[in-house]
Amino acid sequence: MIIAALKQVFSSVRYLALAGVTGFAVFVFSAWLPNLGLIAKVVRSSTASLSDKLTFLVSLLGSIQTNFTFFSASYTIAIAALFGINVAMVVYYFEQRKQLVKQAGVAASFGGLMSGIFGIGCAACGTLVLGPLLSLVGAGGLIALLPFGGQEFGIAGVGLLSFSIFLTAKKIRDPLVCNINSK
Amino acid sequence: MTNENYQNTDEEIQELESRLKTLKQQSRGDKGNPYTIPVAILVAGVLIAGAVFYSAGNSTNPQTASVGNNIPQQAPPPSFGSGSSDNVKPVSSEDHIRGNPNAPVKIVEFSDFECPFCKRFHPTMQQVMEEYGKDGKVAWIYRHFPLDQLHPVKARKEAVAAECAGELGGNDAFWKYTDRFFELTPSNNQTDIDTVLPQIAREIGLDATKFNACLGSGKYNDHVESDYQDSLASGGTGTPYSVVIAPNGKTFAITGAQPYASVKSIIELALKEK
Repeated sequence: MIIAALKQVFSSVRYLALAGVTGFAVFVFSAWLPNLGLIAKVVRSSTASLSDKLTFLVSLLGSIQTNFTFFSASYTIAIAALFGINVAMVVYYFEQRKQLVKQAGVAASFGGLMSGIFGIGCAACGTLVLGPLLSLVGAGGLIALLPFGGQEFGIAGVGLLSFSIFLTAKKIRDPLVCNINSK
Repeated sequence: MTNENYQNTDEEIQELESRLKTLKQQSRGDKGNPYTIPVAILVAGVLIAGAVFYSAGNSTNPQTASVGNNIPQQAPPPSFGSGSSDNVKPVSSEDHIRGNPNAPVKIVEFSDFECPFCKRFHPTMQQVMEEYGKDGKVAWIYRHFPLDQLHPVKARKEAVAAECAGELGGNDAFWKYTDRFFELTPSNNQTDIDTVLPQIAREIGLDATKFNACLGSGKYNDHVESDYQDSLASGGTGTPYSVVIAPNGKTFAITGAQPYASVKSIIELALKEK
C-alpha cells in the first residue's frame, strides 16, 4: 500500500522536486543549526565578498562528516529524506482531496518535525538545541541520564515521520466513496 | 393577529435562533475542533522554538548584572547559553599559546579532553597552524571546558594534568601533552587516567614523581574552573567551542568540530577585519 502510494505521488516530477528541495533544506538547516549566529554575522559582514559568504555556507555542509557521529549523521539524513517525502505526500493528498488532511496525519507530521528538530541538534559534545531548552527548566543534566545522550529524539523523529508517511499513504490510497456497512 | 403578537413571535424566533446557535457551538465543542490538536502542537512548537532562540541568543552579561537602585548584586554564575563571544577573556601571558602571541588573529579554543569531537577537531587546528602559524598570522589559545555532566571526574582531572605538564615543562610541554593525549586516548570517558596521565608525562620527558604530586595537589583546580566559567561567559554550550578574534577585536564563535574549510573561511574573514 505504501509502495503504491509512493509510486502514485512520485510519478510526478513536481512532487519529486518538492521532496528533494524540502529534504535538502532540512539537511542544510541541520548542518547550519549549531552556527546560526556565526552565519548571520558572516552574511551581514561588509568585509566578506559574496563569494566568501557562499564558500563559507557551503563549507559548513561538510560538518556532517566532522561534527556528527556516524549514527547521528545517519538519522539526520534519514530525517531530512523522510521529511521531504512526508511534505510532498501531504501536499499531494491536500491537492487531491482539496481539503485539509485529517488531524491525525497533521499531528504526526508536527510531532515528527519537532522530535526531529530536537534530534538534529545533537551534534558535538553537549546537545545544542535541547541543552539550552532543558537548562531553562533546570533539567540540563537530563541529557546525561539518557542512554544515547539525547539522540533518542532523532530516533523518535525518524519513527514519527515514518508513521506519518504511513498514515498519509493510507489516506491517499483510501477510495473516495463511503464504505457500506454490511450486517 | 395584532402587531404586538407579530413582535412577540419575532422575538421568540430570535431567541430560538440564539439558543440553536449556542447549542450548535456546544455541540461542536463536545466533538472537539478538528484543528485543536494540530494548532496546539504548532503553538507549542513556536513556544519551544522561541524559548530555544531566546536562551541561545541571550547575550546578557551576568558579570555586570544589577537591579533596582544601582546596587551591585552578586553576579550569578553564567549558565549554558547565556554568554556571548564578545565576553571572552582577553588573551594574556597566562594562556597556553601556540604560535605568535602577537598574531593578528587569535583562536581561543575551549575544549574537553574526553570529547570525541575535540579529538577530531585537534588535527584541524594543527592544520590551521601549519598554514597560518608559520608566518605568524594566527595564534591558537587553549582553554579548558570540561563537561562534567557528560564526562564526570576524568575531563577535569585531565585538564589539571595538562596544566601540571605546563608547570613542569613550560608552554611547549603543555602542547606536547595535549597533542599526545588526543592522539592516544579513545575519549568518551574511556581513558584509564591512572595509567595514561603519568604515561604521557613520562613520554614527553617530565618527572613522573613531580607530575603525580602536582596532579594530587589540586593546585590547578581553580584555574580549570576559571577557564570553564570563561567558556560559559563566552557563549559556549558544548565542545569544541572556538572564538576567533580579529585584529579589530571583532569575534566569530565557531560551535562544534567544523571542517577545515569553514575555519579557514573565518580566518580569512577575520584577517580582513582591521
